[in-house]
Amino acid sequence: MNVEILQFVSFYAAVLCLWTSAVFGVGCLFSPSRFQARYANMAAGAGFALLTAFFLLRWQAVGFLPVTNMFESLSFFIWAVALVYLVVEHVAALPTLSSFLLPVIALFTLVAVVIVQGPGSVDPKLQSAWFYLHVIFAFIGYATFAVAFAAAVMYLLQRRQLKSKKSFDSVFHRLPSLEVLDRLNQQLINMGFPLFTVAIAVGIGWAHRSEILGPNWPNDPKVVFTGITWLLYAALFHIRLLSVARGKRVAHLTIIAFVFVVFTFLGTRYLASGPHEFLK
Amino acid sequence: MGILVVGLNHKTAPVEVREKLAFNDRTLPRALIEFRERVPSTEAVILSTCNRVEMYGAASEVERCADDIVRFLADTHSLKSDDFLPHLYRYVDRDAVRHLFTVTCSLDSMVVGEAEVLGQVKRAYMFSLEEGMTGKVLNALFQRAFAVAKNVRTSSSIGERKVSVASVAVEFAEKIFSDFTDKTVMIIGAGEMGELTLRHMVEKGVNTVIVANRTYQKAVELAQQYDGMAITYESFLDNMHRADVVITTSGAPHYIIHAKQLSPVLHARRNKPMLLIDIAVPRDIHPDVENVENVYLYNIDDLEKVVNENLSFREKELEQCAAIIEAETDEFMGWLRAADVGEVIAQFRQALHGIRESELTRTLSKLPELGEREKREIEYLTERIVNKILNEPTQALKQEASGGAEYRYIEALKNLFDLK
Repeated sequence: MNVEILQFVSFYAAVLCLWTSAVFGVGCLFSPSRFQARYANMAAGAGFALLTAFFLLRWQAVGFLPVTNMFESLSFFIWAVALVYLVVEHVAALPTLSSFLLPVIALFTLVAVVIVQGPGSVDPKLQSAWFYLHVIFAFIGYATFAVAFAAAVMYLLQRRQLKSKKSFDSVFHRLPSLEVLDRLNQQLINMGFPLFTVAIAVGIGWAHRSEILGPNWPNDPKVVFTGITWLLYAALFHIRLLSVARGKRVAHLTIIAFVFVVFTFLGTRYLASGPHEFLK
Repeated sequence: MGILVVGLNHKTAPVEVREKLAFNDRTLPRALIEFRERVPSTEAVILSTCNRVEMYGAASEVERCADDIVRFLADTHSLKSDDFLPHLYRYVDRDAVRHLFTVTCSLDSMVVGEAEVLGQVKRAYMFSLEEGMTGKVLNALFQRAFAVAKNVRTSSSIGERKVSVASVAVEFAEKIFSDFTDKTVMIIGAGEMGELTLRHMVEKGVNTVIVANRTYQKAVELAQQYDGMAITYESFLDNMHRADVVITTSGAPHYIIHAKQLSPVLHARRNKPMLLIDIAVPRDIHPDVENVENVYLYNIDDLEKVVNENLSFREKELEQCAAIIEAETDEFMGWLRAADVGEVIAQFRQALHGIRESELTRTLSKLPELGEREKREIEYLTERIVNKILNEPTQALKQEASGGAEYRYIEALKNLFDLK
């Protein structure tokens, strides 16, 4: 079979699996006997494996980590979120996390399907160790922030339920306790922030030493918004470190910071062009 | 074989009547033995809880058995049957089966859905089983009842919601804290409800208990019970930062905890969440505390409101449970009829083959000149004739067993062929 067809087959199969996992993820919140959480995880695992296959095939075809356009970049982000999700789910065993995170992944795959395209051209200047370090650290960092975002949403829902002083229906009964969600958020930020920081440090070093973003790189919109995002996560990280606040405020900040991540990632391309925005 | 239940419960009889008829673990085995002596070859189970006294029986003549039970209940408790007869209900067959299922599934309980009654029914059954007072019918009935209870519990949400103030408080606690083994509970005052809540928390594995009371001696006594620590009433605020859960039940005429007092407490706790349970009337904790971040406050009204919501939720689930019980009752009655029919068929066969065998022996003894082969052929012949005769009525009876009108056939057969 044509390699390009094989790539798309594995991509669409991955999307299908991830959507199935989202359906089971949401379903298990409302009817765990009909939609079992383990099927959500199995489908997510299959989606992750197929997406990995997609990247390996494309990598082999272009000879380069395929994040050459928005579509590939988004797919790589989805891959990273699925990876972090599977790891967290394996370690923490929180079935309801799937109900909140897997639909987010499914939404991103929807965007990816809309902008699906073949491999872009590769600027030879980009091909360096800097690139791999920068991209991989940034994406794994972003992925942990996505999971932290889901945990924060869950925290706020459970908190609202507790403050409402109402009887726990079976849905809220399945949500974990505030303590678990707050701790998960903390652990994810503690993990994601250093990764993100390394990615930025590598990026700055790289921009300094090469001409990729031009001499005016600090004004690149992605650089500016990444700076703001980093400040938000730095604030979160230090709030945790010093126990200044907990709970609701931290959850709100986690959500705002993730909105910045998504905007930095998807939105800044409309503000300028350059290799950061995949527009040349 | 018919099934019956005779008894009374919290709906039909006041406690003064129920307590007079009650059995306890000591009197129950003796009562069973006495009942067997009076009414032999009757299966019986006595269920005696604080909300009900019931006797289940399986006998060939249920009406007479019911009268026996009434007399037995009166005699063993030295009562006149008129004293409790107006409170008594008696259900037969289908209604009796449905009643046991309803009781076992805790749909007939004072607090609908509380799981305790299942254990009580199991115990009652075990008593009879040990005394050899159960047979084919009651064994099957009670085993079925336990299975139905399990089915109802898993396929409905009847037992899901908590229906006591203390358990609702623990449920809120469980949604704030994941693990109690590193948590500290402080109780201020020593109200009954407060202590009950404390006990529920301790059962969840709470690490440390701190007790504060205006009377220090009382604090010491309560603390000893829970391996905890007593502090003076004046120092409760200084110690509060150590507590993850605070239960107040002080009986003070005014608020003893205000929002502004909590800021330093939370600061000392590095903002770790706190659960405050105010069970006192008048309230101990100012409602302003509600607005302090990372503090969750529930007063007695909040908890009781949830209890009531949960109770009405259970009521709503009743319909679904009743449908399950109805279906299970149908199934059991079907089984019972089939078992009855099977027994009659067996007796019928035995009767006819008995006649055949005796007639065959008589005839063969008159014909000594017959060879082995001829004898065998004659024997086969009689066997085939009897089996052919049996075939039609057996099929018809089996068919009737699923229709429900098999009793007329059974009676007819018993009378016509003098079966037992």
